[in-house]
This record gives sequence, structure tokens and C-alpha cells, in this order.
Amino acid sequence: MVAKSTHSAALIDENIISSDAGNGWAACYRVVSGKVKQHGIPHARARVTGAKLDTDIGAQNVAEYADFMGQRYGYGDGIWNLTDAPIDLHQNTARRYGGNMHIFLMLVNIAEMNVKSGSELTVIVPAPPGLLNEVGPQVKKAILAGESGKNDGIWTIQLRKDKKPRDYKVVRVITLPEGAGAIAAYRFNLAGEVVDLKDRGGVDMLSGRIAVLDLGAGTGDTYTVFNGNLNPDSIAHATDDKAGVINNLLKPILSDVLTAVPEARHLTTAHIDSYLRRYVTTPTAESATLRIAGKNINIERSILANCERYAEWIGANKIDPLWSAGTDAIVEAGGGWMFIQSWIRKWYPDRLILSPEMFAHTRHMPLYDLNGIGQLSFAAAIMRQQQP
Amino acid sequence: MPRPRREKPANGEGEGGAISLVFDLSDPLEREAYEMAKQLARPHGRRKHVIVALLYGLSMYQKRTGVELNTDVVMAMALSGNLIGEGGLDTPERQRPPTLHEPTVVISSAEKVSADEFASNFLSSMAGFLD
Repeated sequence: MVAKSTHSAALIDENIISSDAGNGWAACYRVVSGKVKQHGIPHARARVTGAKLDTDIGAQNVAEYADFMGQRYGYGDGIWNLTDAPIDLHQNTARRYGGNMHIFLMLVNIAEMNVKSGSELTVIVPAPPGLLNEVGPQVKKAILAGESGKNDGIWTIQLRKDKKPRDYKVVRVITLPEGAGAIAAYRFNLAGEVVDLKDRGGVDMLSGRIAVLDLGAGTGDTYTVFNGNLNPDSIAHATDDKAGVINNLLKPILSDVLTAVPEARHLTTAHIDSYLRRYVTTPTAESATLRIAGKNINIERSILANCERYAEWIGANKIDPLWSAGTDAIVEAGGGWMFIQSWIRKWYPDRLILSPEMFAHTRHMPLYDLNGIGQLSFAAAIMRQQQP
Repeated sequence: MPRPRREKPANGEGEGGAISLVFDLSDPLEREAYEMAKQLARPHGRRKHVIVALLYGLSMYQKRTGVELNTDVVMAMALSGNLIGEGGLDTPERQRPPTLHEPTVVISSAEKVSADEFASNFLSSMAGFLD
């Protein structure tokens, strides 16, 4: 757990953007003065007008919005209660990678990180490993085409607080399988240096047969790395679009809520996602109490029951087969782990399951940021390797 | 005309909001509890707060964990120390679900590499994705 070298000069500059526009949380990361800066928003948007009432009757509700390709979209948790426009989720489909919403969320985060207009950017974009062969080229082509489609890589976005539009020129797109960033987060520090992860027997915890289990909002990805070498057989079938948080938590909780309040048909999984994030931040009965369609309900028992069911399903269908296949260790990645970790740890007390809190260099990284931050470590490690 | 006799509700079904407690002072455990009840009797009304807090805590525990409480469960947890935990989003101790079956014998890779070898292999493995 000690960096190999004391030399930690920053190799990656501010214009390398690690993007993780997942199905649940879309975020971007970059290194500024040796520190990670980031911005994230829920993976949802809605068309808004952004109009203000010309009155002085009091404060008006304000949602964040951005103008992109001739349309104004609201984003962030503040939007749910302020618009009647349909909420655009575009989740769990191969077509979303490199699509309008994918690029919109990435640009909003880049602008929110206050990346200077006119910057030339290299963006790292992950995709589910099982879809990478299909969507990797389409992501690169779409982003490098630019807004005009003339392959100039130029995109324009204007946030609510911006006085004029921001232009960004994307000069390079690197696509990586989701989960690779997480491995890199454990293996390297932000300077691209190798970090030793020795167990009590002096053996590297990532050596041998390890499996990345990346539980995101949309998909659950599992693939095997043997002594650092990617197993191409496992990557082709790595993605399970039924194994993510949306199908296993958000939809069942939404169903419970609709059973209690059938008239709340306006609710979507995006609403449930915001309630769930609030509860995880403050796990109290109060934070699980909602007022929906005029009724006060408490969803705490639904959250806990569905979390346990999700843990059982992941244990039976993902983790047990990995142990049976001779996996030495499982690497945790993705926000889905936050909801099941306490059960999984109890059920597999004698197994090696790597999680961020185990190591000094990853302790500050939330599970849902592991891929995004790790992609920066990966970029730094590549640059370090290419140094003479 | 005789007044119709009011039926006493079954235990736990009353709605009157009142509970009376009679301690068996010959039982050492109840005697001790009674002494504590006397100690908490002053200032007036505070003893009720303690009992309410205790019962409210049990209700919160039930809500948070989903474990339906009855006297046997409460006593067992009190004895095993499970009621006094670290708090937070904790889960009740329970055995692994029957659906989870680990094999008794597993294949494990004997060949291990160092952190540097892993890093080198990993970066080479991923190099194909870069362009």
C-alpha cells in the first residue's frame, strides 16, 4: 500500500477529462494542481423554458439548465418538481453511447467544472465491456464529429450562469471498458505510480485470478483479469443489463411506492434514485419519509428489503459462480455496491473482496467515483510507461 | 336494566393508552427492575420518558432492520448484545441465504505475479483500447 516511487510529478494536464456518464450518475473528473476536481449530475434531463416571471411576489424556484443544440434542458435533482415536461432518461441501451444525451451530460459536467472555453480536450469515455466493440467506434465517431458533423470535434454549451456559450474542441477520445478504471484506481495512484497491495502473506492482492464486479445503475459488469491480463473470453459476455441498480432497486421500490400511492403515476426511477441517494447519505427514517400526491409515506423498509434481495441475487448469480470458477479476489466497483456491501461482507467473511476503504490511496473515493477517478490514474500510468 | 358488561380487550389490543405494571418482588430480576423504576421516579414524569424511549428505540430497530420483534427476539438480542451496535445502515446478523452455496473445493490460481508485473500486463492488455 505504498507508492513505488516518491516522484509524483503530475503527468496528466487539466485538459484530460475522465467522463463517466453512467446510467445513474453522470460525472466528469480532471486533475488540477495534483488534485481531482469533479462534477456529477443524475442521468436525466427535461426540456424547460427557463423563463422567469416578471414579478416581485417573492423567490421563484430555479432549476439548473443548459442550452445545447438549440434546446434548453433542465438537469439536476431540482428539476423533478419544477417541470411537467417528460423526463428524458435514455438508459440501458447501446444507442445512448455517443448519443445526444450522453454528450450533453458530459458537456454540462465539463462546463460545470469550469473548464475554459476554447480548450482542446482529450476525453476518456467508458462503456460496458460487453458492448465496447459495438459502441466504442460509435462513441469516438460521434464525439469527434462535433456539433456540426464536420469532424471538427467542436461542441458548444451554455449554462444558466454563463454570459456566453462555451466552445470545447475534443481532439482525442479514448474508450475503455467500465471496470478498467476501477482496477487502475486500486493499482495506481494519480501520478501513475504502481501501488503495492500486499496481503498478510506478502502476496499482491490483485495477482492471480481477479474479477471486477462493477455494479452500476444500468448494468452489472463482470470480467476476469489474470495476473493483470484481460481475459478476452470473459469480456465479450461481461455485461448483464439486468444486474444494475435500476432493475434491482429502483423499479421494485417504485413498485412499492405505487402500491401505496397508486395515483402517483408521475414518478419515475429517476425520482426513486434521488430518494435513495438522500437515504444513503442520511440513513434515518426521516430521510426516507416522502410526501407524494398528498400522502406522507415512509419507504425505509422497502429500501432495506430490496437492498437485501439485491444482495442475495448478486451473491447467488454473480459472486458464487466467480468463487466456483477459482477467482482469488473480487474487485468492487460501482455505486451498486453501496447498497449491498454490508450483507455481502457478512456472507463471505473469509473471501478477499477489495473495496476502496481498505487502502489509503482509495479511501477517499466513493464507489461510484472509482471508475472515473481510476481512468485518470490509468492515463497517468500510460504516460509514465511511455516516458523514456 | 343491567349494564352490558364491557369486554376486556385481549393483551396488546387495547387502545386506551394506559399500561399498568406490577412487579413480582420475590423474583430477583423483577426486584432489581423495580428498584430502578423507583430510582427513575423523580423528577415526576421522567420515568415515563425512559420507558417511551426504550420502546421507541425498539420500534426504530424493527423499522430499520425489518426484523419483526417479539419478546423472545428482544430478550435474545439483548443477551447477545445485538441491540447495542454501532448504529447506521446496519443489518441484522443472519445466516447466508440458502440460495448461496459455495463449493467445498475451489480451484485457486497458484501462479502469482508482483504488483509491477500486474501493472505492466494490465497496461499492455488495455493498450488496444487506446486508439
